Amino acid sequence: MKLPFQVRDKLSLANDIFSFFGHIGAGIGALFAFLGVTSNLANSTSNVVFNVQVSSLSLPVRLTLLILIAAALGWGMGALVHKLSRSKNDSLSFAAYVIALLWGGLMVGAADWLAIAPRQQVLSETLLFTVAGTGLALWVAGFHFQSASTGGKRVLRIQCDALFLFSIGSALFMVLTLLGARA
Amino acid sequence: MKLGGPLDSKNAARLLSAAAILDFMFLGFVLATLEPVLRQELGLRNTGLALPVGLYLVLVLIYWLICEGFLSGHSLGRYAMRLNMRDKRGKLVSPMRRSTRAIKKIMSLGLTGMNPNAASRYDKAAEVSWYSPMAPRPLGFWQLVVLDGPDRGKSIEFRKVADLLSTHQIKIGRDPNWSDLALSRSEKTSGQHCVLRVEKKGALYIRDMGSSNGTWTGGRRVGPEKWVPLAADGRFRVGNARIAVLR
Repeated sequence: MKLPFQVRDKLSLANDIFSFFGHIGAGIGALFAFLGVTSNLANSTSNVVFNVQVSSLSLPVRLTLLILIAAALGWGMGALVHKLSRSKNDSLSFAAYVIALLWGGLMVGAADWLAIAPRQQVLSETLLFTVAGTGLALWVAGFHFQSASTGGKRVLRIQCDALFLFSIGSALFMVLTLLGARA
Repeated sequence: MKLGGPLDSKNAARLLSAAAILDFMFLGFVLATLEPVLRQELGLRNTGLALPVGLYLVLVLIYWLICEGFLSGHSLGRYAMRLNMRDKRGKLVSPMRRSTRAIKKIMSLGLTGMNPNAASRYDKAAEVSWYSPMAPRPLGFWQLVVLDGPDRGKSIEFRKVADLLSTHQIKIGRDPNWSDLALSRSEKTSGQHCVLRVEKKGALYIRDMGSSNGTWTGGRRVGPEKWVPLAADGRFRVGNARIAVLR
């Protein structure tokens, strides 16, 4: 039996979302596995320093990492919000807002991870990385929202709201991170 | 940077608020860099919040003067959001309008610009519009573009379609004498294949003209008996060629 087009369209969207999160999960798993292996190696070899510590990397390397992560986050958020904003299901549209807020948190988390400890900083790296990362992510996400294939006022409203919430999330998590660092 | 179309006041307010948040975060970074240096240079110790708050307000003022006075309304946040300040006709804002906007902004201390639900009073007073690639362009600048098939890359702007204002229709087919968008190399396209109807508010409808290989939109075949709304993605298939409406 062939399902109606609307049902197949929604199933396809759900599959896309599941596979997207599946890919993110696989990526995070691989990263943790890599860090776990290097950490174990560092523990087991007393003479050879083999541990990969992000804070020990130079500023240009960390900035490059930040650019890659911010671009990936912006692209991912843009793709997800683009898909979800077109859904006629209101709960899926609402998910676009939640994702935008969470993505702001992820951006600040990545910036904080790449910044060296606050007491050693000459520049406020957490702030610098957050601003640069958020700006880049917003700019990259915009590529998905260009009007070439838009679908009306509702889609535009959801996309504008998502970008607004992403910047709010980013600012909010940044303030919490900075307060946490001072405490 | 692509100009795009004019945003309505609510969406413009949201994007401007997002840009403002990014700008305030940037100024926070400048403050965090400058404040310890100033404190050391001036020999200040227990100033409490007075120094950072005062310095932040000064930075906001300087940043605002640079962005509005010298960068034609561009700022870091607005660049990231791809926002462009234009007048109602999509042209660069004249110095007179910018001055009016600046005076009104000073009078309200920029506070009316912090409402994410409506356009600021100074933008209304100066009749300034915000353009973004996210917003659809005016109807005349929309395009029909052939995405694949032998005629791939062919396109036509709506404003260049003869009689569009009176008939509201764009004809698509293989016959160049009949068609506004002629797919002369596509063998699966009929001479008079289909017609796209353009409503004043931008709604699009399509109708087949009894073609041999059919017209499709949103996964459904379009019949010759009635007008069918175009799919939300603005795409349709004529024979073996996919065509998109670029808004």
